[in-house]
Amino acid sequence: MEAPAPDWSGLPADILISIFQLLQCPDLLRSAAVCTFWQKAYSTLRRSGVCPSRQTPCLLYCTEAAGAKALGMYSLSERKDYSMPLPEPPISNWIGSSHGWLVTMDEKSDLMLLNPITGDKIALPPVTTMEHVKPVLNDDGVLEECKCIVMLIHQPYWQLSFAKVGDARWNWLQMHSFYADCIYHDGCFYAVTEEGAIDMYNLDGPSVIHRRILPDMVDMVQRYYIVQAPWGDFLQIYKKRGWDPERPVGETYATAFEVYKVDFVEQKRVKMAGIGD
Amino acid sequence: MATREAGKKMIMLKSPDGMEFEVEEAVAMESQTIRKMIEDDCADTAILIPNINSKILSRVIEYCNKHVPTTGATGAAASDTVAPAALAEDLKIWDAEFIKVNRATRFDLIQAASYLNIKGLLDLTSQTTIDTISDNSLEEIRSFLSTKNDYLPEEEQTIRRENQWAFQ
Repeated sequence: MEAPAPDWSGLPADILISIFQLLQCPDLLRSAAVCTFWQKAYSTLRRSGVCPSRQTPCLLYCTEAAGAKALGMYSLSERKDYSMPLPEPPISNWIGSSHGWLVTMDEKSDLMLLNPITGDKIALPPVTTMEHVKPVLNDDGVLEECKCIVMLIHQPYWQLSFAKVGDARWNWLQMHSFYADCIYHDGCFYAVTEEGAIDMYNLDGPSVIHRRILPDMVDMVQRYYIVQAPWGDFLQIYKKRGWDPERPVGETYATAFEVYKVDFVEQKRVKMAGIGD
Repeated sequence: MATREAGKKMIMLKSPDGMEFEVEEAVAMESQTIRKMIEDDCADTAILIPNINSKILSRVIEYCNKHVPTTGATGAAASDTVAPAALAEDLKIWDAEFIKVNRATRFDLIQAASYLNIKGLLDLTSQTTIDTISDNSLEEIRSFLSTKNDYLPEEEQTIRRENQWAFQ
């Protein structure tokens, strides 16, 4: 005695959107094609900029067969391979990723942010505008407006330079050097130096606000990282490095790790016994 | 604050089709919407729940009854009877049985969970919908959810072309 099935396109938009937020990315994109009402809900979700939650990680990879034309993506949740087209110009190097965006480099070493899911791309200011790069080629790019800041740790002194999307030039933060890692949280960048000190940079205003929030820790032979744990805490990781005379020169290996919980607001650092599971 | 065991406070919930349900306040407060009404002193002895018929409201109350924390924060000693993990597993099995309903009921339950703001029930009903969306083709989704494809053929093509990779 099944009651006549209700038309699910009559589901209120806010409920539909909250359901969409739980979908895996490929399912979400496909849902837009179900009917125009679902497409509207999908667009609203996309415009809101809220990231769908609980995404199962996907593996991105390049294949020789597809070359620079396509990027492979293996979805762990669906156990399925996808092939995504890659935009022009051809990408010659993959630098890293953050918040679902890939940082890519083309033949001229110019950097681009690429969202492999949507195909959106954002060109970054030409590298030739950076303080330590001698201009060889000039390239005028029109940049899209969007709230996004890219921070770069660069040679020769491991200093920081940043660019907001839309900037024509990289901005050099020359007051300090020898940074090992950097993370963004709540409007500020937190950069950790080779000695383990943590500096805060607020780049929102017309002038940069800089403050050293935590002092040096130990000698320079070690390596520091700063990461955000899945449960939200910020962790400073100290990697002790050893050197084996049998190995090729310059090759080091990790001998020990120490993990510190960092509180940016209280400006405190507490050594942790472990990181749980 | 908490009123101990004796004299549990009862609340009357009324559906628009005239049925009345007497439930413990703690059970009713599984709904954040009702909790707010009670906390803001907007609730008299009876609360009318518009838009939710008695059939669905009784299912919602059944869910809240099962999910209301058993003793509350003060009952630390009570926890040595059942291990929390076993309790959670038991709830999961119960939930799976609870949601074995026809599509019309599930459709109403989602809306009720959203209106009454019961997170657990909304998650549960949403998840079953997601399973439908995840495992099936567009045609199957439309047929399961009785959603009409109101695209013109060329419109649907455009939508598909925008993210062609996802339709492989």
